[in-house]
Amino acid sequence: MSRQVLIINVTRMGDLVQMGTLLTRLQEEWPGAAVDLVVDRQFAAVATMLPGLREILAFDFHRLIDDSRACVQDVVALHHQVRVWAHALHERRYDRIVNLTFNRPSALLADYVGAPDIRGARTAWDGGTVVDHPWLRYFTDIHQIRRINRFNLVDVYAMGGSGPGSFAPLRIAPPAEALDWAGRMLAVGEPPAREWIAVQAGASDGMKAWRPQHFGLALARLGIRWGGGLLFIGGPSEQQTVGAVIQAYRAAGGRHVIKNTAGQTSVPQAAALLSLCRVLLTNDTGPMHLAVAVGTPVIDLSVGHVDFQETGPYGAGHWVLHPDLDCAPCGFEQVCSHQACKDRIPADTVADLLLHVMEKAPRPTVGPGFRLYRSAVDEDQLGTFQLAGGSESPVLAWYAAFWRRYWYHAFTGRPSGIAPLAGEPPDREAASTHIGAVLPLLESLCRRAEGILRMTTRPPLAIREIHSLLRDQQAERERAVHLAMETWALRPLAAAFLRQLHQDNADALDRMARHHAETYAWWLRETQAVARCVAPAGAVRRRLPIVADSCHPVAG
Amino acid sequence: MTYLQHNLDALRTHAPALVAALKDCPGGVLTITASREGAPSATVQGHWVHSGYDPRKEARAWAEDQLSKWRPGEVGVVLGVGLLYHVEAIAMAKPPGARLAVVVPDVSVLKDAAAVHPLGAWFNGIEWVLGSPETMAQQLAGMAAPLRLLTFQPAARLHTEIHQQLEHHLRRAVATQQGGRLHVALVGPIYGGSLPVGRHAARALEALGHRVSYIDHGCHRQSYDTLGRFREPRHRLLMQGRFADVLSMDTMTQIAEDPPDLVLAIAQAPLNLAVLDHLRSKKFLTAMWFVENYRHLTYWQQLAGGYDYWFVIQQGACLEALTRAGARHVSYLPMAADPTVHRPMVLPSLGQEEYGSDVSFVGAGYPNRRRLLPEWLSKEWSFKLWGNEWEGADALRAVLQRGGARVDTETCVKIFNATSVNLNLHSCAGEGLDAEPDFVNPRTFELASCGAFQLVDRRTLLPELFHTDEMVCFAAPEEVPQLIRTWLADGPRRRMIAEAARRRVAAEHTYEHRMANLLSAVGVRQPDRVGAVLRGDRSAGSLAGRRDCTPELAGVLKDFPPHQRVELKEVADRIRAKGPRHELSREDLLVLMLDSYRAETRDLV
Repeated sequence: MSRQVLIINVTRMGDLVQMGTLLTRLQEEWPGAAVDLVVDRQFAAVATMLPGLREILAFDFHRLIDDSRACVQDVVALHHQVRVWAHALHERRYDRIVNLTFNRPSALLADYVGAPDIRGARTAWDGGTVVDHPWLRYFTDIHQIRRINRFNLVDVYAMGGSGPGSFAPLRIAPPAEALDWAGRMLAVGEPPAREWIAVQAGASDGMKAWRPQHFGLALARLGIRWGGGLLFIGGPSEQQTVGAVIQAYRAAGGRHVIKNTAGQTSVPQAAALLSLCRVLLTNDTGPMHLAVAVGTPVIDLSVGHVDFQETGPYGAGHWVLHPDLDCAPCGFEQVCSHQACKDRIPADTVADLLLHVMEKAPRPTVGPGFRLYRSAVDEDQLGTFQLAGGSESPVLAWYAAFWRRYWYHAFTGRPSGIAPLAGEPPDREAASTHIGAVLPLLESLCRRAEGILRMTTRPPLAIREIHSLLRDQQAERERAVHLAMETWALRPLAAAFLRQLHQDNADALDRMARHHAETYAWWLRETQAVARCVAPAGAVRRRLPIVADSCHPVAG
Repeated sequence: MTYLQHNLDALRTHAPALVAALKDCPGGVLTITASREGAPSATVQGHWVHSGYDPRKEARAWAEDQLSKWRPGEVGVVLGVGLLYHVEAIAMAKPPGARLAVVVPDVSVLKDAAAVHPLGAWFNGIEWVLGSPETMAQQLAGMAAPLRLLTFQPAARLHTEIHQQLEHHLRRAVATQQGGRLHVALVGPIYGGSLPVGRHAARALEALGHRVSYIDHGCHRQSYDTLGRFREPRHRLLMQGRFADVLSMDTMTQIAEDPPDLVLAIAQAPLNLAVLDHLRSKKFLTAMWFVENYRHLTYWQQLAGGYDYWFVIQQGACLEALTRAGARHVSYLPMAADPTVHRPMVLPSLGQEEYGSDVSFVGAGYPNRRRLLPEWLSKEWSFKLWGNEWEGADALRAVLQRGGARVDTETCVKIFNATSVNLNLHSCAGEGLDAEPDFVNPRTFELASCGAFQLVDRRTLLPELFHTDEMVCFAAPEEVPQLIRTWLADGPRRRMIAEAARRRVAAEHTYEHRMANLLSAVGVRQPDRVGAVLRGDRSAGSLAGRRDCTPELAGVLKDFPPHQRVELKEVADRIRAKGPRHELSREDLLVLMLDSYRAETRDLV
């Protein structure tokens, strides 16, 4: 009997398209596997275009939120309705659940449905949320280390939900009737445009949308250098934004043929339209991933709190413009009143890049204030972005490359195919000082953790003494974390340590103490390994213990 | 050809009383006209009762819409008879076993319907409700199930008044059943006369046993006033409008953090249309008690469609105007008093000296008051004028107290109690008495509740609120001096009338009465939500006994007192309260999952 996998991916259109590589990888791992998908009803149409799914289990989670929050239905009705649906999933006896919706309710759902192997958020014995798989644990740490993260979520999903493998591009298949409709839609007009630039000016969150007037100006700057048409896409809520873009475009002298389909297409129709366009100019949105998945090149204007390294266009042939600001990308909870990052990307450059993608102009030169990246596939068969204009901080660039190789090796057990880094980190002195200060604290923390573990296994429990030791341990841990967070050489480990420490999932004091002791030991071991790579012996102001094979081959 | 005899024969065994009533009535109310599609349609006084194009198609669309709202276990009650196309459509489409009743205010209309086309077997499954509004309400209330009113407006329009009376009686039935505890978010204004109304309403709801989150915007008064410093009116209005928008968001955020069963706004509450639309899209119920003269404050025109329920202090044209502007449900809900605040008191002699006089008036200096009050000064009686906005009223300067400072509620109560004859002159923009004297102001109820005697200008809505032996009115300004003279001279009768008015307020016109009435009005229209809570259908005992309740959930519900209202949050809290050492069962996980979705707020703010 073939294996059964349930993927839970509830919240966004883009996330659904981004799991395309995972679907391919699952079939490589378990040929003929039956893969089902739990998705919110509003995104079910997107899911129908994904190849490799046995069944789409659409549920109206938004209605559930509304009905439960406003007490539209009573607890018995709500419980009955959801239980009938979820219990049927439980009865299917899945071999694996891949939960790509990293929130508490989906973690609870994953455990209610149940499977021997749950990847992604699941529920601890006491109702807390835990993540076991290293790639998906990494996902939960990304927000703390965004500046140096070099893994696209497409790869994180694929390696977390299955494992490493050959490069598999995102793919969706718009239905034939949608393609037929799109062809006729673009053919209408006198004279019909020969080629189209698609424009996605809206976004689900205004923070990640380039300003409408900038879109308008950039498109107007195409001028007479290109004679095609502009196709605006978007949802019903984006019609006002598209209207503002068109107004700005006309005010700046734009005279191309325009088709505005915002709010008038289904998702399959939008995907079909995108497949017929030369390029999509877009914010980092769901339609961007649709374009990637139908093979249309993308220019991603990565502003606000989105980070193209995580969610940018996957695979070769796409471009990203990114503001060069210390705060970019900002955090997801950031509320920014000025949004100056949106003014860093020049409209002229966007126009020139559009022409370049359509082979009508050379690659634009990049001035100060922003960077240009080209997407690619790297030696490990993962999506990547190569700097094509502008400059990056040498320290960030060094550590980004370092951690990219380090984590790949650590999580897959395979050495990375990417060439080792040449030389030492640009901040070697400062990093060495930090490492030298952190290591004794970690050694002390390990001793304390072992001491607490011993006490918890020796009856009767000396509760007061244990509490006192825990307080001292906490104070020392806070000092160590604070120090480690100050250098990119140690911050990723500190972030991972904290997450791991708190995801204890242990239902007894001694087991919790054991988990803590193991986590402290892990932190020390990994820090020693990183120290040997970043600051070779002698550079650190204290002697490091030698552990065979403890340094992944990340630095040359 | 007439189908009447055929239909009556078919009905005879199932509904002999109805057949008898049909035989006895004359019929001929509807004017039958062929529709474009061929089926008979009907008009009354030029208004179409069914579509002139395709009445069956119209009926099917209506039925489909109604079915989306009609919940299992509810009795569907059709308002509007017409030619019964819509009744047939919903009878054919309803789930098997669902009970459907039709209110028949005038049997003649039903006779017209039975005469123009054959009625199928569905006709025998209908529960026909006939009689006076009160009888019909009793019949419906006796069905022992939640009622879902299904109004077919083109036909219901013929009997609007009877339907209103029926609903009024139904509300009373719901009000007498009220037991469940609702959570009401009460949104008050920034300033103005409706500010105390919000507080009284909040207190009344709490006294009725409901939980109230009072969103008090009175604390923003100073900031709002600061924005009034701009000389250019456009600047001032723009800034104050933006500020009100911010407070609207503030309201939304507070609602998000503690979601209520009902958002009740008091007139002038800062809730803009965008937020109201957002609330509706997220399924929150909203109501507005518009305690203002709709002719003077006209912003209701923009907000009419924003609230689910409107309650107004005027009738007739006001109800029609709001309905025309897009309000879905508009009801009359007069002002009231709060007997815990507006109460009789005996002042010590110093207090009597400070607040007392033969005659007094408390209120703001509207034009008609500036014009009329000087005529009512006399050397025969002492007169005190209290309140603000009297600048430039030279003729009243000698009697104006405290330099025209604003008078708070507690001081008002002292003045009312210490005055022999309180004047109550409704404000208006003209120079005399209100030319359209319909609504009754709060002062009328407050004075009465204090047991204070008042002379009030005549209002068309006053007689149904107070009897003539409870309130003395004047129809013209010239009557007032003689009335003062008469009543100052007759202390015992004065006190008797005032006491009768006080008793009437206590019995019928408190804020508790109004709030109970308001909630039952919403409950009648929302039988599965507010209505269910009020009936006690969401109590632990009721829920645990439901057929669709799993044994696991019933087990948790039985841990609660049987009469306590229990929602998802309470069940989840109970599971969490088992403590950190409790290992969760699979069923626990499901409840916690539901509760996690319930706690989501990102889509709200």
